[in-house]
Amino acid sequence: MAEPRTIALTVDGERHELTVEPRDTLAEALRERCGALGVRVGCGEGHCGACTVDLDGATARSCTVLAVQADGASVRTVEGLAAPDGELHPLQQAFVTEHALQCGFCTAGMLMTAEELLRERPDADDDAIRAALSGNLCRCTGYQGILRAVRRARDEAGTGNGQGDAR
Amino acid sequence: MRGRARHVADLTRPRLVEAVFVRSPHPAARVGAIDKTRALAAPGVVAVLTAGDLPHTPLLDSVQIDGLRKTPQPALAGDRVRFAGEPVALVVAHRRAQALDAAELVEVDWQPTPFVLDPGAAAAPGAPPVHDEIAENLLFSADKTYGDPAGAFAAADLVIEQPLIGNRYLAAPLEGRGCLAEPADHGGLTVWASTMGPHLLRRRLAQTTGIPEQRLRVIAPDVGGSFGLKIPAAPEEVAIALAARALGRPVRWVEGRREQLVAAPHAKDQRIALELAVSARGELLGVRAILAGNAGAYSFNSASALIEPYLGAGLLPGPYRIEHVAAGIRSLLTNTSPISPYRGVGWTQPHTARELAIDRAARALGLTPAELRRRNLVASFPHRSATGMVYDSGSYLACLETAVELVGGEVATGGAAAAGLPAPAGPSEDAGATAGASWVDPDEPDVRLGIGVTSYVEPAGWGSNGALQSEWSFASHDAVRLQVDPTGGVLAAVGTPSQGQGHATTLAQVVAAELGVRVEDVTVIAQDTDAVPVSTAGTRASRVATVTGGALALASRRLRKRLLEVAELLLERDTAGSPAPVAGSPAPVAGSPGTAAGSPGTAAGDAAATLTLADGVVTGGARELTVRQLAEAAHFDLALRARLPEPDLVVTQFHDPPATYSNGAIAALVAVDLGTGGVTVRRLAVVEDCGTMLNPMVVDGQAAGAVAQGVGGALWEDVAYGEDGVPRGDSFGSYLLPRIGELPEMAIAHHSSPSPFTVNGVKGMGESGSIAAPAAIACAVAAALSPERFVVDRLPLTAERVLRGAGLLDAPDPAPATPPAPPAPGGEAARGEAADPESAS
Amino acid sequence: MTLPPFDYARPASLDEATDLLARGDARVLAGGQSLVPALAARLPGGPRPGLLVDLYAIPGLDAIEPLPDGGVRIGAMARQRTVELSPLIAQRAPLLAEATAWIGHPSTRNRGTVVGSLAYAEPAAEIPSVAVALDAVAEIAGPGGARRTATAAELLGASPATPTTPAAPQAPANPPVRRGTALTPGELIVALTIPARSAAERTAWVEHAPRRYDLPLVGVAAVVRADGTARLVFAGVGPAPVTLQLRSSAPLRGGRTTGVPAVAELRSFEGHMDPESTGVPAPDPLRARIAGTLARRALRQALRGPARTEAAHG
Repeated sequence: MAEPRTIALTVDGERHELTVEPRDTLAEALRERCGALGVRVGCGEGHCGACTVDLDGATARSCTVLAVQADGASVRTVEGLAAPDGELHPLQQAFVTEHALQCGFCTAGMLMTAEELLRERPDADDDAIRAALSGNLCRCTGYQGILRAVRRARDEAGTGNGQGDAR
Repeated sequence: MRGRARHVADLTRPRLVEAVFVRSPHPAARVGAIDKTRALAAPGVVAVLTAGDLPHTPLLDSVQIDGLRKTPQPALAGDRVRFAGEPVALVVAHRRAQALDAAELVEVDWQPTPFVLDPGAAAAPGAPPVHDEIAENLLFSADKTYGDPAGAFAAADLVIEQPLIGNRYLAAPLEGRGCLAEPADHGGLTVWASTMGPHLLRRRLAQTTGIPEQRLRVIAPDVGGSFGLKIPAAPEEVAIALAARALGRPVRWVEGRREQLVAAPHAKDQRIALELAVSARGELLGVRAILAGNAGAYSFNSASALIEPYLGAGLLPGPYRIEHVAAGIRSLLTNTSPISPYRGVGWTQPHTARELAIDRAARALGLTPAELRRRNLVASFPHRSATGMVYDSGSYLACLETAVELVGGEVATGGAAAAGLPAPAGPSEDAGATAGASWVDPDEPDVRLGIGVTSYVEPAGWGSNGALQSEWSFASHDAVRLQVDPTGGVLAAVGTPSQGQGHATTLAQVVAAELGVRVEDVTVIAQDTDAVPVSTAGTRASRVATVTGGALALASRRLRKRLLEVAELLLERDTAGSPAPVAGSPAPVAGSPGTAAGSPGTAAGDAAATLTLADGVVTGGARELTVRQLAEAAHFDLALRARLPEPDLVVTQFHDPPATYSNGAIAALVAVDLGTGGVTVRRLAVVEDCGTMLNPMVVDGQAAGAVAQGVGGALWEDVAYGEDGVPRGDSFGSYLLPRIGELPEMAIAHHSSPSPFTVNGVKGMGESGSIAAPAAIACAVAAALSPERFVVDRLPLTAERVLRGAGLLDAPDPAPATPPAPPAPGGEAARGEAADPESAS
Repeated sequence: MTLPPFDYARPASLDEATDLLARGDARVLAGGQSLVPALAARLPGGPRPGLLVDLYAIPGLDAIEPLPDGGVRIGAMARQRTVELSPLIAQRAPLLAEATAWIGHPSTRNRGTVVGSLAYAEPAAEIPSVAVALDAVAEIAGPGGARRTATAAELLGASPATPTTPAAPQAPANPPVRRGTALTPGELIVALTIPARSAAERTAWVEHAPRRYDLPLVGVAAVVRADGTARLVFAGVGPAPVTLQLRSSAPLRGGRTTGVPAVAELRSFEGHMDPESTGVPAPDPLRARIAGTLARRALRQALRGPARTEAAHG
């Protein structure tokens, strides 16, 4: 019972085979077995959103998904957002420009959630941004810079300047 | 941002094991036998440790104030637990999951005993003692009088009585507490900890473990927020250090969220009975208050239970010319988690009570709340407050006006309509309608709107002098080390790490500007007690900008002088080897950043007068010289080195600046839904004056973050102990932090009144929103419900309290409010004592 | 933060799943957005299953299908986010789409399932009340190939209430305590079927929580029919959804498609309903007041909003 089993995960483009217990969450597997320490666990019960990753194209809180449930999946973490040459993703650049992070603990989850929003709704208005980020807690910023940063990334993508201005 | 930060939970060490605490489910119990057998047999378990396994000197409140009774706090409780969540054992296993499993198998013989949760009840005769040796659960009681409060109240035309039960809430940073301790050579330890003050933790660990400080190395890796929580040394940190020593291997503890909300120290939680004496002309004549702090089960070690009521008393006059003050300060033990610092320590709840009273006074006098404040704000500086604080400079009136303008105007003047808000309901026979009036949202007839505005003063940048003005014993000085390496890179070593406040950026800017180098050539390190000079206090009390920043500015000036001396010598050598009379008479270089004011009489001085160092380049001589060239020469040009009075490019600078005070105003527009009791914050105006701003973006970020936390404390955040003595707010599903949908976009504005006392006029900042935002929200809700004569006497303003206070819920309150102030010592009638604290002195 | 140990199975067929579930300590794992956090909390008295049976690999369970009679069938693994955004649901059960958007957050709706939310039977949650409001029927599979159906109301033990006849004999718990579903060991809900609705029907979901997107304190589903009758189903006022039937004195005209209803029409409902209270036996005065407020707002919103046929084309 509760025997460990081997699963496969592709994490930020790199394939991992790992042995996990059924009770290991995806967050634990990513952090402890795949070296994806950019995934942060803020509450462990699905309330804070810090551990949000992209799981096969849709965001998920990796603390509420069992690693065994994700067997065979492709996971993108915050460490896979920037280009391979290190160039920041437009959202990351906007977060810097707008001072959208202080301690940074919530940032990975914010970025992954905002990335999904702008992918699905490139024209997201303030209400849509607030609804999308409603499950991501930040204790430092009062969300002021975060809201501005997502708007900025949206606007720059909309004018085709996203990449060009991202330096 | 890229996911590269590394926190305690991310560290790896060879042979690392993970620790989990076994904690009391009871608020008070005798602890009988602890049976470790089943836990020790569980998979992966390395050890199960209890109090007897980890002998040490308990933590003790370090504050030196006469009359404070202290309660030693052990790292692990022995035969008695005093609050739900107090640790009694430590389970150590290879994986955290294994330690959690085994912790459930530790069998503790709990013998629950009577407990008390409310500080009012704690002082009552027959209340169960939290510590047998502390009579009446009273840690501290003092009555302070400034001026002639009895005379002021006798002369008053109006006295407003304002009770307030302040809620217990906490910092709840996204990263919890945690540490990793590893044995080092010579019986020492290296401790990585999520802490605000590495030197402070080192000192506490030395005191408790007996290991000399030089053999203790404390490193703060990346820290995911703190807001005060990580100032004091945690008993858990002591236990982990002891466990690492006992087991001879690295041990780590990572706090869980439930563990934090229940068992970490909480904050605030004052019971206040405040009275405000006002003249018919609208002068605030005097204030008197009983401030009863709920200390929790211990007076917390390096923070003290007194941080709440004692510090609150000193700021009772706030930003107003209130010359007569009486404060009855009480601190009471209860069977709850200890109180420790959280942003706005001590000041938040007395500020809220005072501001609520001012709004009610305005209503009674037929003035707008802003107008009553206008008539009483401090306007000339320096101003010595009744309690002895010297407000050095400020823009108290200007900030108020800006906040009122940004939030949409004063309700009674029709400014709201001018700002695009629905017009207030017309004047009614209700006298209150002219002040803080409510009006109805035309789109939703159940919704009432109200504006609250509050002015604040923030003790900003506590050096020892600032602490002294709060009558507080607190060694708060820094040493910093600044050095230029042979390639011209600058290293600033400070003892004040950042938990998200942007110190690396801000302090690097200070150095770059003062030294004359590019900001990207400055590296700030703050993490490691082996690498940085001592900061006695660490990051706390908004002190980094003035204390650390001031020290770095002074160090930079000295170092710049040395660099310019090197430049002079190099330029002289260019002109045919004429010897320069430098040795023994160093060229004085002073003045403002970027220019060098020379002194006449020496060749070097003449040269210095013309040389300028900025952006890493010396100009004004026959050729330009880079800092890199200067540093290279200073290190390796032996001929030149021999001629320098101080050939090294290393400066150590001590600094303990005078007190300084920031100020500002916050205004809120709220919508109260009478149908549900829900409160929505529609506008927030935040006006801040922290003197010379080092980095406006960081200032804005700090201001907004503090306001958000204040709004949370006003509307949602509540530890909320149940009748069983266990917190109800025990997860992020029940302890409600504001989310992005709960906070409007804030209008943030600045005035600047540089301090005449500090280096470059800089003042500390970062706590004001937590001090003042709850008052802005509470006053706005009260204004929205003024037709219902709503008196805010308890926070947070839950739907139930709003509707009940407005008379819209009929059934009795299932959790009746406890009395606003506990009985004074001696068991006399609470209200009489509360009303007249100076009579006891 | 770290779950207690359990075993895990990912059956490939319903029969395999029901056989596994017949084990006494087994639980269904669908989206896991309620169960996994409950496990992580490790609370005394919290769930400690010996086996989690993941429905993910059973073919076809994630389908959202149109039924020939105009209804719609939602499989056990259909994610909330999919339902929220489904054009078919928008057309045939707009109330469900509207309410689903209030469940948690995008990243939890990406994982959580509508059927799982029904099976979890949280008293204040959206799906149980909406399912009752829409006369939804659960398809249930049991061990040994057993199959049966049950209405959502039967499954949840939801009972009608009237302003004069309180449903609960004794003082209700505050907050309402989860009673669970009438499933027997080994049973699981395979799909939820929402029968065809009248084209002229108008619906709304409103809820109130201290913070938006939290589990509501109270939620109300309103269904207003062309014949002028209306049904309100309340979440959060009892251990299961509570239904209130209203009979208007001024029936809506069938096929009505535009505009805000006449004030008189709304009044005709409010005549049956004290604005201060629905008469629903809520566990405390606060919930009672909120329920009354939300009932009025839900009716107003339903009547103001476009009829369903418009929504489908708009």
